[in-house]
Amino acid sequence: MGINQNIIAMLKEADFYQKQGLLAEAKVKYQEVVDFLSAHSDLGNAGKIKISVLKKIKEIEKEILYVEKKVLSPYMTKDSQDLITRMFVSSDGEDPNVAILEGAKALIKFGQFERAIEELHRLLDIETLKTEAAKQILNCHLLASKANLAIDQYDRWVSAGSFDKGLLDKLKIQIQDFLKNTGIDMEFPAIFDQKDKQTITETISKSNSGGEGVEKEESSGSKRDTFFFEEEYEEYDVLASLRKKKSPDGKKR
Amino acid sequence: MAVLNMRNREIECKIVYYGPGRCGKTTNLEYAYKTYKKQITGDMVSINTEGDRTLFFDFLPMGLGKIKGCDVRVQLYTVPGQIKYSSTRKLVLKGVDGLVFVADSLEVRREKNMLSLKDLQMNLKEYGISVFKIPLVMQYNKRDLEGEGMPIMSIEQMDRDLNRQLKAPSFAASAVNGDGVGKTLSECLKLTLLSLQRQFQWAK
Repeated sequence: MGINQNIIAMLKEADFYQKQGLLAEAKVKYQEVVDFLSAHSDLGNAGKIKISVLKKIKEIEKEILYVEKKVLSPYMTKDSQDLITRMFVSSDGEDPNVAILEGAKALIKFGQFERAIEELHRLLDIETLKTEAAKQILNCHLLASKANLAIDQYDRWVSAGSFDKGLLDKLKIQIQDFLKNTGIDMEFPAIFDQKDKQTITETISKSNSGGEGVEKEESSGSKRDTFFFEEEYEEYDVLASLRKKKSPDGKKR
Repeated sequence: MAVLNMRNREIECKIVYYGPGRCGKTTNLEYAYKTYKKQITGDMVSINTEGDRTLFFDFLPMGLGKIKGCDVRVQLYTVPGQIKYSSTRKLVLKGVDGLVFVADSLEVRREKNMLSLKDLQMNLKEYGISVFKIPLVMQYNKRDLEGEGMPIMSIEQMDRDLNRQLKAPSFAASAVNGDGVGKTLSECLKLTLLSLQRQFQWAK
C-alpha cells in the first residue's frame, strides 16, 4: 500500500470510530496519522493534513469531556420514573409502604431526587418507616448538592416537633458527616426539646411585649444561631451562610 | 428473579443484554421492537443521553404466548456500557434470569470486551450467581464491518478470548441489519425457560 493510501485508510478508520462513538479509539487513530505525517514530512500536503487532523483530535477531546461529564440528576419522564419504582423493588408487595420506600431508593440511585422526595414524604407518618424516610429525604438533598435544603428540612422538622430528639440527633449527625466529608466544617444549631422551645418562645414573646424589669431568659442550651428561628428561609449559598456572611436581604445569618 | 404464578399459570422472567459501551445492546432491542411486533406487549423505554448512549437502561416487554400451558412474559433490559455506570449495571442486573453478552467484533475493542465480561462476572457474584451457571448466550456483533474494510477479530479469536471456559452458545450478528438478533434472543429464551423449568417445574 502506498503512503497516500495508508493515510487515507487510517483517516477512514479514525473517522469510522468517531462515528461509532468510539472516541478514545478515534483519537488514538488520528494521533497515529499525525505521527505518520511527522515521520513523512517530505509529503506534499503533510502540513495541511496534519493541521486538519489536529483539529479533529481537539474536537474529539471536547466530545470526550462532554460524554464523561457525569449528569447529576438526568431528566427522566414520569413514565420512566414509574417504571423504576415498579421494576427495581425487591419486596414481595405485601406491604405497599415498603414498596414505596424501595421505589424511592431506586429513584435515588438513578438521580431522580425530586421524585424520590415526593414519594418519601408519603411515609413520614408511618411509624415503622419514618426514620428511614427522613434519612433518605436528607440524602436526596445532600446528593443533589443542595445541603441548604437539607438543613432547611431538618429545621422544619425541629420546629414542627415532628420527631423525637433521638431521631433528630441522628439526622443532624447525618448532615454534619456528609458536609465534613465534602470539606465543609459547620456549626449546627443546637437541638432543643419542646420544653426548651416553649421557654424560648415565651421569653421572646415577653420581651417583644415590652415592660420594664422583664428579664430575658436564656435556655439551658448554648447560644442559638439566629437562622434556626427564622420563619422564612431564603435560598442562600451554604458556604456563605456557614461563614456567617450577610445574606442578600442584609440580615446576618 | 422470575415471577411465577402457578395458580394463573403465568411466568415473567428477565433477560439482560450486557457488554461494553457501543457494542450494540440497544440496537438489539431496537431491532426486536421493530420486528417482533406481535410479541411486544408495551413500549420500549430508553433512558439515554443526547448522543444516544444508554444512560441507565433500555426496557422492552414481550409476551411469548402460551408455552406448555403457561403464559410466558419476558422483560428485556440493556445496561449502560460506559465504565462509570458500574453501579447502574449492577442495579439493572438484579433479579436476572438469562443473559446475552454482546461483544464488539472490532479489533480495537478486544480488551473492552474482556473487561466487560469480567465486570459481569463480578456483579453476578455479588448476587451469589455464578456466570457459569446462569443461562448465557454470546453474541459477536458487528460482523458486517469486515465488508467495510474495518479490522475485526475472527469468530475463533473471540471464542478463545471470551468463551473458552464458559462454552456458551454463540452467534455471529450484525444487529444494525438484524442478522443474528432473533437467533440470539431465541436461544437465550430457550435456555432461560429450561433453567426455570429445572428450578420450578412450571411446565405441564
